[in-house]
Amino acid sequence: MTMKTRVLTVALATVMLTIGVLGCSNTNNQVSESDKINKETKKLNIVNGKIEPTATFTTIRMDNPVVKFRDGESISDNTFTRWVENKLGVKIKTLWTGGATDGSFTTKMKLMLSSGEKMPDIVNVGDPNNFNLLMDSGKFMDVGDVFEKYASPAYKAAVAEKEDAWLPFIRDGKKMAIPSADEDFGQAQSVLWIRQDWLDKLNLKAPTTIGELETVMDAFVYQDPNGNGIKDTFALDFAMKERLSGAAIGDASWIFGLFGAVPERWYPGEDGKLQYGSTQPGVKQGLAKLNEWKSKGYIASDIALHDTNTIVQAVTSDKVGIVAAPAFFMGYPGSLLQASHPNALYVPYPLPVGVDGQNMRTNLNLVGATLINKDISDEALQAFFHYINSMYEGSESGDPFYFRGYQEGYDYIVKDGKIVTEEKEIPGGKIDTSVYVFITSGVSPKRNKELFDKIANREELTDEDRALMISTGTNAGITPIQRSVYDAYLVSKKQASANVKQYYMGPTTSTMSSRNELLQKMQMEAFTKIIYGEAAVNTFDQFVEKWKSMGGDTITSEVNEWYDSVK
Amino acid sequence: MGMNTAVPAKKMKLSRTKGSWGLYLMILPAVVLTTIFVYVPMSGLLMAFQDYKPYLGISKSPWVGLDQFKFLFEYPDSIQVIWNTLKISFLKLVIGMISTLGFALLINEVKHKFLRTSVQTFVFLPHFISWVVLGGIFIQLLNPEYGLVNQLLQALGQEPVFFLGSNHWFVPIVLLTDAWKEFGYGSIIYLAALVGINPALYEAAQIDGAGKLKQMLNITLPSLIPTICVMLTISLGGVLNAGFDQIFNLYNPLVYESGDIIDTFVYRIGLIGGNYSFGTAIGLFKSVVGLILILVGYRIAYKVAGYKIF
Repeated sequence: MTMKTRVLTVALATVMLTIGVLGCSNTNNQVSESDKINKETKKLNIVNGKIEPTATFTTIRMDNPVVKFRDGESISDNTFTRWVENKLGVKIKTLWTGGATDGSFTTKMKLMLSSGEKMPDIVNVGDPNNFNLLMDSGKFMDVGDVFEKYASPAYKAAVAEKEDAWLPFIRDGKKMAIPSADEDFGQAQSVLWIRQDWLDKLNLKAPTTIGELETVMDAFVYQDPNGNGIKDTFALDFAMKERLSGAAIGDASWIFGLFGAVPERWYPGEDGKLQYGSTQPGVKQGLAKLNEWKSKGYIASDIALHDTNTIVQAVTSDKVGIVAAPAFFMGYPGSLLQASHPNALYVPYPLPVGVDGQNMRTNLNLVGATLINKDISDEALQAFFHYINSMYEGSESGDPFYFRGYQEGYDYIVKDGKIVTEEKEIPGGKIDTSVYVFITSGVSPKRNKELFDKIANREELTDEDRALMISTGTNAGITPIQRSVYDAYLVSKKQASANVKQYYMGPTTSTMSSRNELLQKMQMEAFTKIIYGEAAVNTFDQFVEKWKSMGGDTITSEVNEWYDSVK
Repeated sequence: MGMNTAVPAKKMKLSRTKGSWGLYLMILPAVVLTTIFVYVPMSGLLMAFQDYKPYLGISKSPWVGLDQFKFLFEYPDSIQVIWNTLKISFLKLVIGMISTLGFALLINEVKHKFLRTSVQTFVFLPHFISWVVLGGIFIQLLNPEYGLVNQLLQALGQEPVFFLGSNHWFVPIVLLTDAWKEFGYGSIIYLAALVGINPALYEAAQIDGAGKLKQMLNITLPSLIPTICVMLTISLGGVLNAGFDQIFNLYNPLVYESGDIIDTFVYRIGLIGGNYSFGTAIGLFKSVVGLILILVGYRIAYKVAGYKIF
């Protein structure tokens, strides 16, 4: 068995090393990619996919409280980092770790920057504030050339699959960070979660048009769907305390999307230029509709106070019929509701067809960035690319056991040549090692999407699929809550054309930093008053005029200047 | 508290004797700690006059003079926000003073020991509940449809009111809920002062035939004046803090007009740009105003009540 694996490993390492270098098939023949491109840099000695002697690169990592560890391991020293060192000959040296949720990672990183300390070789961050700060610090390199030079075809292909991946990282035409190649495979920010038990009880079917939506909403308010004899339910809940688009739970953008606009987002208009959603005529119609719904009692009368937290409270107290939310909704807060109301069930449905058949909703821009220190040693640079190329090639290899070195005994054990993932079978308890992985487990967005489709459509999974599930930490959709995630995925996928991302991905301009707050406050005040009927719908036009004159026009031209420069 | 006059002369004498070195040694740790943790970090105030960038640090960030302050005062909404802050916080001060003092005086008259201590415990409790939780509770209580308050109003034949969405009601609600939360805790200091009043005064008054009310007006209140002065003067320093946690959890776009305060404004601006310098400038501005008010309060307390706090 072990012999077999070893042979397999060697064979795979060969494949991995030779991908992109056609005709080279001898394991002992050291691959000389870097030689080809730049004769001056000294290439590292790679034997069987392992750098010898071991090369090191430094980094910093986040501590996430939900990540489980065993046997005294930590994010900087665990089964995965040991595997990388033993198998790839790359030592990932973590200089320090900081909390992801309490902000201490960011604080430490800022302190490191301001004290003038030497930055780590590689930094991988997901928060735009963080990568903007790092990119502007001048301590990181233009990665364009080194990415071209060292990234393997598989790595390059994965990044290329992501639409507009480089846009947030371009400064003065230079690529200041490598985009993370993970994408939200068509999962929209929001699908409509409707109380199925209420629909069933009132003999209704899920709405497909605005008219049907209103019928359902009317029944959800006036026919006592929760059956407690008191009129204490409202049909629709959404967040509008601070903004209308992009709340983690209760996004309201789809309501305006029924009329062809997404507030608070920059997206191309008919003339191809970026326009600000909040000032589009569709928003005016949306506000008029919300005002109507408000006066009919379909939405809570204190809706102006509702944000994600308030919505969670309302949902869990069995009061809300319809909420737009991401795929995890039944997990949180749905499971809390079910704890007290076991028969309560939200089911994901597509958005009802809007006016003239149009549908729009905001979508999350998933961004992550890998920055490379401009003073990185050539050895460390090659070590980093060797590591990440190997991850991609391992995932593409089709070998379920490629990552066995760090997964076995944690994610699964191997019994009679078969992978066993049952918790009770694994000595010491099951651990999801996908969260130990640095930057990426090397699965391309396309491959990930295929896997998701297969699970969602309950197709037969291959061993390779199962291996990918383990290395990406994807669940099989067995419990009803896990299943609901895939159901929501399928629902949102059918309406993927409605998804509108934030097209502006450039840096915050000076007009933005001095005017955004004012414009947003003005918008929320004007819109809320229209929804509450305290101001006429036509005051929307005054808002648009004011928005333009108080900085909106300047921001629009700045945004388009950027858009033209990257298009 | 009252015997200040004799102390300075004694101190002078002490400092000339060798024995005082021991005292200086004893105060040394406090001086060192205050220097390290209070005075050294104050150098960060320089950020208020810079366009601070974390990767440049204080030494290399560009200087912009008073630009951050100019931005605050030239911002179209500033007047409204500063006015709201002052209004809410002054009213809170007054109502807080009346409610805590009133409660202390009343509870002091309760002679049943068990009743008194249990009431005290109960009214202390709200102080320890965070506004995040209380915000949720008040939003529920004041809900226009199923909130308890509006159900009562409807039972009395009144129209339901969206208290938190009305510029007319928002500030009163803020004041009321704040007073409710803090009066128990705030009264501790007055209760302590009440214990310190010489019982002989009351005995003498009783002999003179003064009733409870007379005793309260002529003995209790005058004895509390120094404490009231201290409390008022100290709270003047925080007059630009109108209570971020509370407002943030209760406000919404409908009541920006009456309820948006400096801190919520800074929060929203900070969210957009992570503007450290602007945040520092606001902090400095608030501290300077607070210091001026404390000094003024100190003077007034001295002039009016003839009482020196420091």
